[in-house]
Amino acid sequence: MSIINTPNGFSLDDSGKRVVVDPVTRIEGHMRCEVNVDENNIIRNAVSTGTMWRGLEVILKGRAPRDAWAFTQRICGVCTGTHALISVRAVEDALGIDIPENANSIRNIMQLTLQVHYHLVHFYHLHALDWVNPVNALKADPKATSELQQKVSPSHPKSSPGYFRDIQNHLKKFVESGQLGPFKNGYWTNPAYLLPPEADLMAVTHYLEALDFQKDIMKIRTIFGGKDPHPNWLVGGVPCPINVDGVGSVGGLNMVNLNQISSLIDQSREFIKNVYIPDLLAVAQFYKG
Amino acid sequence: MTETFYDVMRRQGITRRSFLKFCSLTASALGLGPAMVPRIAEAMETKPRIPVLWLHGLECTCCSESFIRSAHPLAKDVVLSMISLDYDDTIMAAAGHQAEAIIEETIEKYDGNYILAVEGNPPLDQDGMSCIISGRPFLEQLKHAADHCKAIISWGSCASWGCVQAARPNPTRATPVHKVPGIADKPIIKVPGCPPIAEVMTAVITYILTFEKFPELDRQGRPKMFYSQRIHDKCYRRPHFDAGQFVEEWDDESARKGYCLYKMGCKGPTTYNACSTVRWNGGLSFPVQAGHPCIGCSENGFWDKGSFYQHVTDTHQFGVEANADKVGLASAGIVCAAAAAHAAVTAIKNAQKKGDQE
Repeated sequence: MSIINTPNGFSLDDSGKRVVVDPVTRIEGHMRCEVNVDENNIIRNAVSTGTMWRGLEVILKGRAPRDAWAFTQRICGVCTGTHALISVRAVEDALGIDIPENANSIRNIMQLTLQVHYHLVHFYHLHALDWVNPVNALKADPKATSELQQKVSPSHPKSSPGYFRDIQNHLKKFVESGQLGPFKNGYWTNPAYLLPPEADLMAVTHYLEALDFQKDIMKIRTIFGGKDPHPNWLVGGVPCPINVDGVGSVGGLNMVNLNQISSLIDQSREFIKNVYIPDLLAVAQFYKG
Repeated sequence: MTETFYDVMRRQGITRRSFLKFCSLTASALGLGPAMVPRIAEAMETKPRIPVLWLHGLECTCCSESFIRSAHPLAKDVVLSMISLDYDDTIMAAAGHQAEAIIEETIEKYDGNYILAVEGNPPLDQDGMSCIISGRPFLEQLKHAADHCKAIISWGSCASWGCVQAARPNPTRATPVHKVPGIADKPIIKVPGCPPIAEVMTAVITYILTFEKFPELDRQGRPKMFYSQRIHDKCYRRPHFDAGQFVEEWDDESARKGYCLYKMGCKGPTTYNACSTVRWNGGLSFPVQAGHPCIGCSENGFWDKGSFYQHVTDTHQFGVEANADKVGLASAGIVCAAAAAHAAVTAIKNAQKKGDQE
């Protein structure tokens, strides 16, 4: 065992085999992870480092408080808006500003929309490839995948053997093209992948379904905030005016917008209920041992 | 075996007849004559998916997030059928050594034939140590990949101009791609915006793939098709500007009626982008439509041009275009100093309004 004392006061066990993963991918930003494993492959020491610094805290000094949200928003474009909302709240707290009830509701809807969106994107497009093996999905029997789909989520309409066969054929041609794109150099022969082929095919199919669907969830924020990523916020409330039935109602938040938001919320709930949660539970089932 | 664009379309069940129809639609959509149709068809029949290395420097990933919101084409179809996105640390399966090896493999196999897409920019101070990838400064990775690429796409305001990390006092000396000392002399297309509009990003990619060249660029390197007009030029609230109907308070009657946000600080008159035409998230809305002034996020140095809520002056009313180009060039920063002029302009406008009523 060798102990290293770092300049910032940590003592690290630096024995055994050193494993460095840099860059850590499928995250926002830049990260390095470094571990030491002993002869039994047990991690004895782990260090993670954020390897990027922009100095937004320095840049913010001397700026107008009403503008600050736009700067802090650029901390992250994946959890977009979160840092902006907190900035706006901090300014309001400092100045003792109470915001209108409707503004608070709109902010909450925007933030919850992000929460739903990010759960999907994190699970399928960032995290899933640690559990799901798209190459193994080529071995699946589409009929078995269809049966699995109907078992784990009976109310999801896209569950026919033909549907899964179609996706599998596309995937097969993609793999056979030799240009694997984002799946290139993956760890597809690693025995740590435990899903049976039919579960892999189901999960890969939903990776694609979720990629198509996630863009629609964020339309809720586009209606309130004008664009997404990085919608607009405002110290003192929200910028989108409400005019449900008065003159010039089309210039504000009107019934058309509210209906669309309501419909998007319903669609999101359906997707989460029929696809995301059943997938999460199904994948967990195979890894819980 | 490497698949061509045509192969991909065929296996997705598209008949040859439909494929040719697609080619003629593409030609007409891009304003080209029928003579171009066979050329487009030929290009798509023979081209393998072009490899793309999408590198990330000092950034927030909002460009990637915007990209996946594209409605037409879908991001899925771009990634699976149009390009070969071999390196993008936000979505790639591989990590660490396996990820970094892809850059070398791509350089070896496609030297001079891949596209380098850059999101973010490198810091130059402290030898680039404020952004490290795989133990080396991003600056090195960027220059290395640029040396062997065919062309560079500078995604977003970071890669194009510097964006938030380059705002005063620019603590890390973040520098846009085209200004990096020693970067290879390659064609660069800037697609600014924080982030750029999703469909603008995918349209730039499909244009390059179809014609094997960049679209026509303005003198700053931006595609003219999306960045040659101001938000103000095509804003649906422009008639209210011309009529002198302005929002004065966030929750006044004018705000509810959707009047012009010029006095609330809108940078639409000085911002070149496609928000008021292409709009965002599948053409749904854009900042002005949702009641917030444009903050000018596709303009060079927009963070340092005064408050987002301080309005630009010297914008002529009633569609007088004589001064419009000057307005386009004028920075909002100049205007900040002219706080005194503001009162005068407002007074003139009030007089005009009064005159209209009488």
